Amino acid sequence: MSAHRGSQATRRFKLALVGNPNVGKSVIYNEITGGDAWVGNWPGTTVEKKVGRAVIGGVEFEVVDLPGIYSLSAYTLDEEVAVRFLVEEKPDLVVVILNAVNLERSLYLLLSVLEVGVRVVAALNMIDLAEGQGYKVRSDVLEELLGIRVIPTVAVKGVGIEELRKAILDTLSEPPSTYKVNYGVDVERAIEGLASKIKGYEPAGAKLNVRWLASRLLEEDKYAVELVERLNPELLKVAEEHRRRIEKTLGRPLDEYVVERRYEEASKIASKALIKAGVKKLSLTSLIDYAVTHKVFGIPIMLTAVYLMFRLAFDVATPLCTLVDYAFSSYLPSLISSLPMPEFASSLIGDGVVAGVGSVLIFLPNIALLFLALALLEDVGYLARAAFVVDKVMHKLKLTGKSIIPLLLGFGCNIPGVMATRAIEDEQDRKTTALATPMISCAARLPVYLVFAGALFTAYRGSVVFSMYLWSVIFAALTAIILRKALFKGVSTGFIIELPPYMAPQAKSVCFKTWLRCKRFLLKAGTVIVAVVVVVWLLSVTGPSGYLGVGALEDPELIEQSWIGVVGHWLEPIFTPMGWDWRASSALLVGFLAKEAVVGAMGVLYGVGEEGLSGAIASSFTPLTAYAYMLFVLLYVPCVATLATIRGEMGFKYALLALAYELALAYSVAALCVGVGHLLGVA
Amino acid sequence: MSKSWLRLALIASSTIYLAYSAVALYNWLMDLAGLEGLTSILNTVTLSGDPGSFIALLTVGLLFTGSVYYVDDYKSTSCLLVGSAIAVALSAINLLVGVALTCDEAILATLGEATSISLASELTRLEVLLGVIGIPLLLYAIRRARSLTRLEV
Amino acid sequence: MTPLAFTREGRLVRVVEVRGGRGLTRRLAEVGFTPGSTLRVVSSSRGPVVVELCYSSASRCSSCGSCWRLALSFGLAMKVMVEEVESVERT
Repeated sequence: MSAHRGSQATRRFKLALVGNPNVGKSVIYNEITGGDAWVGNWPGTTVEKKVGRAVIGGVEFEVVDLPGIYSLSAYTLDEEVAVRFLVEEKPDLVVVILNAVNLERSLYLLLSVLEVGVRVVAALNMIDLAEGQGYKVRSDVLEELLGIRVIPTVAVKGVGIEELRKAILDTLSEPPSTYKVNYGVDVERAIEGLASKIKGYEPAGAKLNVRWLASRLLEEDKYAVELVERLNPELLKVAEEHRRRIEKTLGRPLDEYVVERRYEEASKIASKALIKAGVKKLSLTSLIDYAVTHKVFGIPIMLTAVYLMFRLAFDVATPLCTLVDYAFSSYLPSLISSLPMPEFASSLIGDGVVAGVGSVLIFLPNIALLFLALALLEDVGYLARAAFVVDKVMHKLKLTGKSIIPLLLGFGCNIPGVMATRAIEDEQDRKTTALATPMISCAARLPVYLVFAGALFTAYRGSVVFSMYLWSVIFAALTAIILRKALFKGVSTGFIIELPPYMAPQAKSVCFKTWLRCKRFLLKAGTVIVAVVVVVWLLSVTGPSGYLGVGALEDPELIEQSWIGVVGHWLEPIFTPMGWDWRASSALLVGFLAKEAVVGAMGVLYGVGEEGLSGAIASSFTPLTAYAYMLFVLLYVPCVATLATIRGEMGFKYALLALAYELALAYSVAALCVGVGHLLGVA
Repeated sequence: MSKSWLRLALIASSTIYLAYSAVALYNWLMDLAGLEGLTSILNTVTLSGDPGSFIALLTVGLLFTGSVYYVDDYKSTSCLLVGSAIAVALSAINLLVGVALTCDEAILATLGEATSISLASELTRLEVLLGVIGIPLLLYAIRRARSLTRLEV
Repeated sequence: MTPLAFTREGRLVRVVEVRGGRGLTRRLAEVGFTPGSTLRVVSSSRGPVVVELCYSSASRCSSCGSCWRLALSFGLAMKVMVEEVESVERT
């Protein structure tokens, strides 16, 4: 097939994986690549791209995992990414993963891929579940009807993977698929006419599948229109004429008709390949769903799932956090200070780099367990139900059910929360959620509350800390409502969520998902936070007068002359109405960079260390000014790393907007708090 | 297990969970007010007092009530299955937290930051005990679910 | 003919038409909401709706246990017009 492209031995073949969501695609990806994955974004989008390397029978492949989709229509971002890849990158082979428990739907996608005219191997996955449901799918019948190899698999158990590899290798030397869905005389004639016209404008060597392009053009597919417009805009007019004529004879929209024809074909093939062995009156999924999607029980069950998840993420992780904390705040610093190094270098490494890495890793146990719990709920099939159950409530806040996952993750860390918004298809909903997520009080803010509440609200500290979480939810909701009213006014396009059959979770798949997400979090958050902590260190040991020496990190007199102290003094007048001194202002500056650093910075600024901080706070704050301070810490900018994530997901403009909005909000809320407090006569 | 026995067991379980959830709510509110709640029974079994426990216990109580309330076999089984599964999960998570917190104390003691190790109070929470009672209910629910979703050839 | 959003739980309904722009009807058609297709309402309470669509569109079974479930937002469910096929309650 590709002898002209160079020797087979050195060539790397491009292999793409296509399938519906929840079909076990990532498991098959794993089996083929052995877990090798580079994760990034598709150019210009927030759709996740996963690429890995695989060697099958001595032949090297680049394996691309396309997003889970139901069709190739370019109506959603995921679909557009997939169809663009298939047409523009021309993979050498496409593995389409079929769901044996949902054959019709899978075949619909398979037909769409076959029509593009690529080499296809199909993996008929989850055959064990189909048998459990009382029917068999005959892969030999599918092979005969479709003219491609169809390999039955149970990916989670590794069944059929060897056969799939072999089929991939065998198919590589075969010609691409020429499968055609028959759309009826009228449409076929139009397709032929249009195809020959397109052929006339095709640039040499473009190797377009003109039949596919013509049929999609008739359907008014967004991507096909864009492609053809580039060739010659005149073609669009020709297509429009054809479409109008056919729609007159059909008496209905052409795209609807075409979709239906393709469905009929899928249905016909499915009925030929399915053999029913028995009848089930009720499926386990229906049984469980009754309670889970129940009007009364649905929300409590969802909240309970969240509660269990948080206990796992925050309580069970405690010993791990303790170990990380010990390693990075006692063991490593003392190890470094014992090394023969100049004081400056030793402090840079110990107080800068190690402290920075530590401040990221200290949250890793919580985040990892949160990811683990989410992967578990996702694989079992509950996450889709949770989104459905909360939708009615979220709708009142002008968000969608799918916003719940970013917001929940936000309680651990705002960064993965913002990153998780990409699962929301509707752009307006996605942006609203991404900007509301930083209002959620993350784990890094908790130490600040604990210190202040412990110092000034002894008996009521529990309620004070709880009130912060309450405020965080209230402000997230308010932010969403404001954004929907002012900025993202469009009506949400609404969601279609598949509720997959409940399944026992597979350790392999859960672990792999958790690992990938952790890796991503560490790369994204790690680089920014470590850099930021080093910058804080630099700002603490230098000042307008130059290098102050590393003693500034322990000496309150010296740190007053550092940049941190100087800027704190500049900021002090702004915060005087709230009754905060320059030290509190300096700590806010540090917290701007990384919120968990506020407590440590205050310890240094008051010259008391973290142990004596309670006393220092109690003497320089009143309960009122302390409460306002806590509110300010909750609301003023998430942290630089979250801002960087917002920039990455939505662009610089929105990061700036978030920064300005949050600063303004925090300042006015804190001022209001103090003002109301004074009016009520609270000190 | 005969039907009437089962009904009785379910009514009892739902009552216990609902009552306990009320206690958890009460304890939490007392805690918010800075007062002492009902934190233990006879100083051996600890009682929860946080909003999360309140909701989890309430959910189990409601689902058990549902399994008695619905006459339709599949509705009642659905509630029983999900309810008992949550009850067992609640027990398991408390055990897990208890073990984790005890480990934490042991680590702190080894590092010289704490002087004594004590068993975490989570290990003796009432949820843990109730979850053990939930196991036979879960097993029964699974058996009933199996027969309801049987494949008829 | 009523919007899918206002149907009652357990009912078997048939899609009569999908009201909406081109993109929307297409999107709904591609997941199975084409005129004539039959579906069962699993959960509905004036909010989003859960429906169950089955195999073999010609003779939609009601008990194969292998149907797929979709949740539709309230907004979308308002755009799918359906008529009741049978009024026996079963989920």
